[in-house]
Amino acid sequence: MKKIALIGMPNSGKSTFFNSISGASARIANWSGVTVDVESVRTLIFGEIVELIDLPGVYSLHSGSDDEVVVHEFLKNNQIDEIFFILNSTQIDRQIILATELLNMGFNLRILCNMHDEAKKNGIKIHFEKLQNRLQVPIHPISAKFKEGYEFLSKKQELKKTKEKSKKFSESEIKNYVSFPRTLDTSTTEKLDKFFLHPYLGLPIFFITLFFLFQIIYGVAEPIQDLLGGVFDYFGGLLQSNLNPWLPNLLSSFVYDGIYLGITTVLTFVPVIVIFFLMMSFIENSGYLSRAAFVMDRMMEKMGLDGRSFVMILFGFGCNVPALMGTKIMRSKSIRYLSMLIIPFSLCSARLQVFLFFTAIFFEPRIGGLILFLMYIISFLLILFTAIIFKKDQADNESVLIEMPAYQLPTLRQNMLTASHEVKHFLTRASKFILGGVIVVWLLTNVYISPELSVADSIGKALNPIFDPIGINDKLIIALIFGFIAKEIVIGALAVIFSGNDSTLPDLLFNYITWQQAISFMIFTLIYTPCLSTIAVIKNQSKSKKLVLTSLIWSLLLAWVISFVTYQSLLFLY
Amino acid sequence: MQKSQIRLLSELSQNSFATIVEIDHQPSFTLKAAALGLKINKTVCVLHKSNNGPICIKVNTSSFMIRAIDAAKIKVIPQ
Repeated sequence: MKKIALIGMPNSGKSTFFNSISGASARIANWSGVTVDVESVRTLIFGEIVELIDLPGVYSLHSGSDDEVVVHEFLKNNQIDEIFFILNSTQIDRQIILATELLNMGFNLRILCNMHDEAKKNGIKIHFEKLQNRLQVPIHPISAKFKEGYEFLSKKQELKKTKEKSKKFSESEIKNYVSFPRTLDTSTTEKLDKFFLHPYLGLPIFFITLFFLFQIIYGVAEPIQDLLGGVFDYFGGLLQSNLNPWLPNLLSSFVYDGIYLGITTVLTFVPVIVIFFLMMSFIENSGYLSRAAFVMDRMMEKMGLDGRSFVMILFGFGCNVPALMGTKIMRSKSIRYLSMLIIPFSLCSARLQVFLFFTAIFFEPRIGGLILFLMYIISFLLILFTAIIFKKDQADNESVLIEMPAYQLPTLRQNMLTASHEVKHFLTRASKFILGGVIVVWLLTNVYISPELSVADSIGKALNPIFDPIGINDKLIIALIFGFIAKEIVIGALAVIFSGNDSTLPDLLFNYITWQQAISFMIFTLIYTPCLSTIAVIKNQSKSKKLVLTSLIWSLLLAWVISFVTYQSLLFLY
Repeated sequence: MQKSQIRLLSELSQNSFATIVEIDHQPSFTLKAAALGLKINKTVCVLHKSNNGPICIKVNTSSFMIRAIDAAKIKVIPQ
């Protein structure tokens, strides 16, 4: 099978192109010489099935960043039939240089001039035929955002090459093939930047944007979640009534209380996750993320970090795992290690479902958004605090040069593709743990070591002296233990632990614990180790056992202390 | 070129234009900067300056964020 590698600079629209081709069917594959995950998809190109491989975005092949090493090693160790080099047409003057580097290395290249529509709108005129003849490679104008110009994929057109060997392409030559207007129309971006990058207003605007973002997630997702919960309850009732007559009680309880309740309780949070990722991909595709890095850089610099760490923290709000993986872009070991210590405090979507669940039970809907926002503030303060505590010597602070792409209004399709990619990742990860997790929780709660004491009860009782001062009692302790494997299990575990009653889980919890205990539980869940996967990624990325241990011990210690202070203060005040 | 005209990129005020005459930085920075179009003889425009924070600059068709400490290693002649 032919292999086509997709290469381009960051912000060239490479991922949009790849997502538009792959949909949700991309897979991670192992490639010779490459130690990081590289996605690929088998798809129909030029009338045959080929493997299209999405390589990390790079600015050049020689500056030695990790991503550049990945691309370099990949090209060195794997047989590639063709390279699709994707460039941003509005920046063709500088991006074409990387294409010529690849050409000089002898690769079979095809250049895709993405965002051709934008370039045209900005008055940039590319003389494709002349440039094609000069470089001796096929060049296609496309718009990945609108999936336009993809006709070339259906039938391969070979370029009639001239015999003479072309001389090296120099940057100054580009003016012979591309006409730029005297001034580029970037007024919209500049107008918006005056607002978003304002020296005084930039930061408050950023926090207000975040606040509204979470209000929208909460406001839109909750009714859908309720509806889905109702549907699952209905079918659960049907399942129970059908199981009871012909299955022994214990087996019926295993199927309904263990598997069905555990899984469906977690599934009701899928709408929240979908909406969260839709909003995140909107912000990412709009170009605002680099502005967030700009306004936050000064604060991050004081903590020994940079704006990019902040962007990773933002990604961590989706899932800590890809955010931790993203720290590889930082060349400085101290910044990378520090980022790995703080990212697990980002309130990920798995923890979000726990907070949504508890907020809906213990607080009125009108303050639900505020409680959620407060959890994000606590998460952010913990990030700051941890960074300050573990801040290393700033001497090896690496340089910061971050591209700020023009603002774009992402299309719904573009957002859906990015979001579906992330949701698929979340569900794949969650499904690994949920089924096994809820079965183990059911076993622990249904296997008795004495007539009145289950295994779960005995574990809860043994740990009670540690958790009692923070208001977390036996049953919640079990949920926390399973939350260590993955936070996606916490609600499912609670559903299994509290099963066997006629009342619903929210009613049982409301009667079982006080709102102060609920707050303490939420804070502990926020702070202690997010999941086993994050630990595995920290270990893989850092190759440092010390860092893994520091992350584990620090988060557990901090979780206990803050929960203790919060719980005891709330008891004292109310 | 007169030496007295040379200033640091970090010293330029917002909306000012200058020509880059020297980049006195680590090779890794210089290589990445060059790939982004930030190199000697190029015209740079300071788009935004934050309070003691990074600077937003524009070279050719691209805008970047650069820290003041890094901008202080780039010598320019204001236009």
